[in-house]
Amino acid sequence: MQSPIVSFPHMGESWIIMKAFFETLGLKVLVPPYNNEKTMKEGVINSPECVCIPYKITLGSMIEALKMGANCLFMIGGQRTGLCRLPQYVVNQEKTLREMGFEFEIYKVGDPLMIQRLLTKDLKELSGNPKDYYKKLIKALRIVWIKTELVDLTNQLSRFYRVYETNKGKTNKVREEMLKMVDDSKEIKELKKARKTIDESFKDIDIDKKREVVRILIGGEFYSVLDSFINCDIERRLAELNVLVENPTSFSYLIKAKMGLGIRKKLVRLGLKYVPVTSGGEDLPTIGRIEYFRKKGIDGYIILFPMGCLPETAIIPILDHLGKKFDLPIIHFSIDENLSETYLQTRLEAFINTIKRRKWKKNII
Amino acid sequence: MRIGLPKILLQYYKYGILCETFLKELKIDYIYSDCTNKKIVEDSLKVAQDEICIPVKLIYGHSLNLKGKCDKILVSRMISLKPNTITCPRLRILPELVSIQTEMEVLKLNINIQKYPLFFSFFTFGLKLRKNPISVVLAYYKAFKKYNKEIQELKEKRERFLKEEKIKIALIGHSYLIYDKFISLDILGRLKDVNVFVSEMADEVKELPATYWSEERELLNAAYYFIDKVDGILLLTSFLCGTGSLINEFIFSRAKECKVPIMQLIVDENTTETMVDTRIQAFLNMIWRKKICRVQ
Repeated sequence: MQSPIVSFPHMGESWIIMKAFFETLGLKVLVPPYNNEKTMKEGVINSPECVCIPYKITLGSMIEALKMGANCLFMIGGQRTGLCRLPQYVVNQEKTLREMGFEFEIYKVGDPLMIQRLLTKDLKELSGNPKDYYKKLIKALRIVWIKTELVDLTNQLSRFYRVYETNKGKTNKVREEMLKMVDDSKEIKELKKARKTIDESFKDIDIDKKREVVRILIGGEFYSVLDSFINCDIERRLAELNVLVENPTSFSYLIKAKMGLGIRKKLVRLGLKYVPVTSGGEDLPTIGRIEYFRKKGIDGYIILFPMGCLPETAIIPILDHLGKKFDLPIIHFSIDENLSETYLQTRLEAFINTIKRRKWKKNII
Repeated sequence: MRIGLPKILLQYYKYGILCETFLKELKIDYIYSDCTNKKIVEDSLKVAQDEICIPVKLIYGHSLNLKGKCDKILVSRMISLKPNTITCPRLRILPELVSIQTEMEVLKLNINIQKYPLFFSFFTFGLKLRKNPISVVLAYYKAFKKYNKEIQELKEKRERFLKEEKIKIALIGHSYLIYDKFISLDILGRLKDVNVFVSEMADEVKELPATYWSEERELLNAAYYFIDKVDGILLLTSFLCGTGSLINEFIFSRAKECKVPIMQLIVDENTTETMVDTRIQAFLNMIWRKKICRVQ
């Protein structure tokens, strides 16, 4: 086999983390262009009709990577059991890609056993059996964890500064710079310095603390929450409407959830009050979020999910019921390839205006 | 106490006889909802969430149809119907959804063959109804015998059908779509002149693509079993069927390999009779012509 060129589909800023992992192991990495109209088109043409948008866009991303010359793909899924459609994705995608005539190898990242085999066998062979493989692996895993935290920190800070900044657009510039800096730094020492730089450069932004803001919680299926292309950059749009976004979903949230740690466990327990069994995906955390964040003073809740998503569409009646019970305005957006920006903008503006009016009314009384 | 049984989904079209005989043997009064009609569809569209398939939507209509006629309704929670598989996520939380949307008392029947056998779910269900354990066991035994007999009859029918020299078609689709005369627009009636094989008639096939959904595995199994025995395959799916959208791809490519004609019919609440009529007629004519050409 010719020398391996590793690639993977996009999900938000996850490419920074994945790229760092493979590069530290000494592999050649090819990052496909970030999700765009072309990716979407490529994916939609080659996938079944009623399948959800993450399938289409990851397929499109993989096709672009293969066309650019990659020959090793990494994709989530493939285990024997699952709940929603996610583990079935990779089986179908592999079949489609082979039928299109590409030659490649695909590595499935599923249950812990598969991950173990991947780390101890497959990646070792791919990187050419170096003697200090395990030393490199530990370093790579450390870098992955630090970079995950840094990316999450950048997103977290930019959420706050975007709302309060005095000259609009400054935060977005700083965020881009910081993400680039995280991507460029390759040693652990550099990354430790990067944390300070991120803190300092965000503090340099001028803010107006007196601005009145509305606090909104975002939840739902994680791909549509994390990927700024398919949700039309909803966080930026909300910030322009003076909304402080609360969004617990992040990359470290997902990694911690895989290990059974973190906030997701609490949210699941709260969700189990209303639904006795999980139906997969992020359904229980989506329900649990209402009760958890209600105490922290949330004015509204936006739920994002791909059109036809099995678990999220099933729980909508329960969410509406809880919204009425706790007096919390809830809006849901189903995302597919035909979601237009104007449609999203109008509905968001209307939703935020109603919330502002509600607040104003309450203050008068 | 009177129990209402909605005529919808797997609890009627797969385990209907089992439930009915079980309740009859325990001497519990029960009542069925009406067959699906226009009023039920309209009622359920008002209540149901969007973006789910039509059979799941209809459970609200059927439950509302029973309101006032009974004390409690039976809604089953299907978690797994075969070892090592699970059902579609939408079927897992139906009892909660029905009780929230229709404000009726719901009796739950949990079926989870992955963890415990079918007998256990009916046994606990019988005890919940405050019946004598021995009579519950006897009732289940009789009900199961009747249920098995029906499956046996279907297999005998298959052998008879295979011998006859008629056009043979495999109708692959969920049982709750095929047998519901309103949603499928009486597809079995329209295929009266040909021999139709449904998925329950198939035996086990060993080599199947990887799936983990119980219903879908049955459909794939049926498609792979009948593919070299029939003249054509008719796929019946509901619009926005989540699991079907991925699994049907395998059936399509398999049919392409074996050069068997295949047609997919997608149904929802807006499907008209003319559309189904023309498509089925065209499909049958094509198969018929192919057969004549081969003879000549």
